[in-house]
Amino acid sequence: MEALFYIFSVIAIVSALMVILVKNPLTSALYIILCFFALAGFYILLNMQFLAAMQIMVYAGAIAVIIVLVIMLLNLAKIKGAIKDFHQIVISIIAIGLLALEVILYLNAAGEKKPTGIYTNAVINKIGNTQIIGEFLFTKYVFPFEVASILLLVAVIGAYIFAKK
Amino acid sequence: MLDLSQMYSEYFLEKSLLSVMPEAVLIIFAFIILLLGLFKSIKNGENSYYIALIGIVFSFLYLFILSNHTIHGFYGSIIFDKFDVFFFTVILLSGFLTVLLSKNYFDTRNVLIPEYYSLVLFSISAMMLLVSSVNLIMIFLSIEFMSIAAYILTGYLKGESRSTEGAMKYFILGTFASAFFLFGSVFIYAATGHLNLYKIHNFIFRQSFKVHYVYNSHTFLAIGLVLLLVGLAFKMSLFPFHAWTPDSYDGAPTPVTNLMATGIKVAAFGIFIRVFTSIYSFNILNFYNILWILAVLTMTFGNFAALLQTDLKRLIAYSSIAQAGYILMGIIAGGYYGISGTLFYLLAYIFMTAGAFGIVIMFENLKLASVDIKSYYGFGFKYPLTAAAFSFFLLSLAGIPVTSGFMGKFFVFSAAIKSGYYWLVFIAILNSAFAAYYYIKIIVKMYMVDNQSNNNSIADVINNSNVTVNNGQMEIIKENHVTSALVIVIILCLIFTLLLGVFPQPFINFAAKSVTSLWNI
Repeated sequence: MEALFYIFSVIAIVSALMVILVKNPLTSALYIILCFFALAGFYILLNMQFLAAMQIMVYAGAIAVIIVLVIMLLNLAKIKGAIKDFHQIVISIIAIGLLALEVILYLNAAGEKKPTGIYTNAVINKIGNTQIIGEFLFTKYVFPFEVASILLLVAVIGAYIFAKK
Repeated sequence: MLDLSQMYSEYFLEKSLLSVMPEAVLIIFAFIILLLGLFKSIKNGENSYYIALIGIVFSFLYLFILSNHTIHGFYGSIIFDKFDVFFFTVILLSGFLTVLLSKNYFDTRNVLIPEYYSLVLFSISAMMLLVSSVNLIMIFLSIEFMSIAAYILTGYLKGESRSTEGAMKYFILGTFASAFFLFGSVFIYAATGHLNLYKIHNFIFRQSFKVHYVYNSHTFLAIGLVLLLVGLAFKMSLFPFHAWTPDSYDGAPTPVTNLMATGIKVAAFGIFIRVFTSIYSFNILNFYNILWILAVLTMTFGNFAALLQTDLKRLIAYSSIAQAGYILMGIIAGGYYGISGTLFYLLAYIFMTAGAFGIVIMFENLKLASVDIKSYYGFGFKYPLTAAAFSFFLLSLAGIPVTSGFMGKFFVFSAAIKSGYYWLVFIAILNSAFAAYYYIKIIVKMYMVDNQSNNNSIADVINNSNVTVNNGQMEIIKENHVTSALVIVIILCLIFTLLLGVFPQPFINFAAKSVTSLWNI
């Protein structure tokens, strides 16, 4: 298990780096898909098979297709030499510093005992991943679920308004 | 955790549905407007405008019926209490005024009318859901719901580059803010194991007795709270997170600007007060000091930037940033007086802002003035009544006595003094004196400067559209494309601005009564 974790992390980090280092947008879109697959691997390691399947279907499937489609529609075959801005470099250094600080804080606090719920790994494996998610979605979180559906409807209306000539 | 006895009780679900009744009515009416768009004859008329107004009135009605109840709904996602009653009233009023303002503005422009009104209703219902949610998931979803409706409405004027630019900036920055909020709630969940605000409150409360544990578990909680604050501060447009405000306020259609400056801001403050009183009040990481600095920076920056503006909408945008700083003072002062003062300020704020925007829209519709301040020069002589009303709203925004702005500032400042924030009040008073300069500058220009160059063109416009200018009359009422809706808005805002200024007692009682339910955890 531990070995798998490291393999997946190396794949995820390298592919995420390649997304921003590669010159060709189409190649970086393919690396994004690889990154999504590595993340799905993490979910499986954490005993969340349902989320892993969703990750592959929604992100690696649907969203990646949209990204590739947009690249082809806009005809972004190649990016001409990217402009390097001094402000961008300064801001990115600050952002990297903050992220590094966050990682350090996170690692420092990782050893603490955290409160855990009643759904431990054993319980989840016994009942079944999908069943628990479904049960929560339609009982405890039924209202957020309904609100999310209206939210998506509003987004569709927005897309219609902006696309209409 | 699932409570089985609650889950299988039909009565519980019915009660849950009651807790979202005012929002549900609005959403149903929004759907009705969308569906009526199928019929050509209905689509092109004024029907959607009237249906939107009726929807808001029905929502008011349900709010009034439910106003004495406290209902916990949907397994701790939603709560309906006195605090909600106050905020729902303010948000519904803001929505009502926005719908009234919209009619003339959009009639002359080539946009999809029914969708506009349904989106306004959707966004009002999202604001109400936001204020009444007590679960981090629910808060995030309502923020997203509200924002997506706001992005669409900001870019509603198709083909106008400023509108699209404003929507684009708002969208990209808003997505970042949502990401911050989500990240923050993940950390809070990791630290406490709960998503419900009250359960988080109880958890931290229990932890605060265990001396050893407290220090350790606060790393995650502190990170989470900082990130959560960033997400919420963006919606309240506090200083370092304000960058979207001027552009999207300026680019959006003016009625939408009114909705963003009043409704969205009120809803953001509402949820911030709820989160603040339940989680932040434990003063982890000295949050009072952080908010102190934010408030000072926000009002100082807002006022300085407003001073340099020549565009009226941008000026009001920057001044609304400064107002957010004053409103934040009441929350910092905290307690019963501070929060009820904040609520009163918010109520006063929507009336003066809506009134000012109403007059801007009136002049915009008549093509008498653009949003450039220079085009308002000398208006005091030509349109005495309208200019007088405009001056009154500006004086109220500046916080001159007799107006509601003064009473709002008075309550907030006195609460801050009561809590011992003398320096904060000192800086705020300096700021409001400073702010009075640019508000009064407009009034001075309206009454003191005779705008010779504009005279001819205005006379032409008036001749073309057959306006009879009677001195001392409400000269624009008879004009074709100013219906009574705008005049109703302005008169309503005038009455309330004056009423809140000279007779604030019933309103502050209402606010105080609603605040008490915040601590009934």
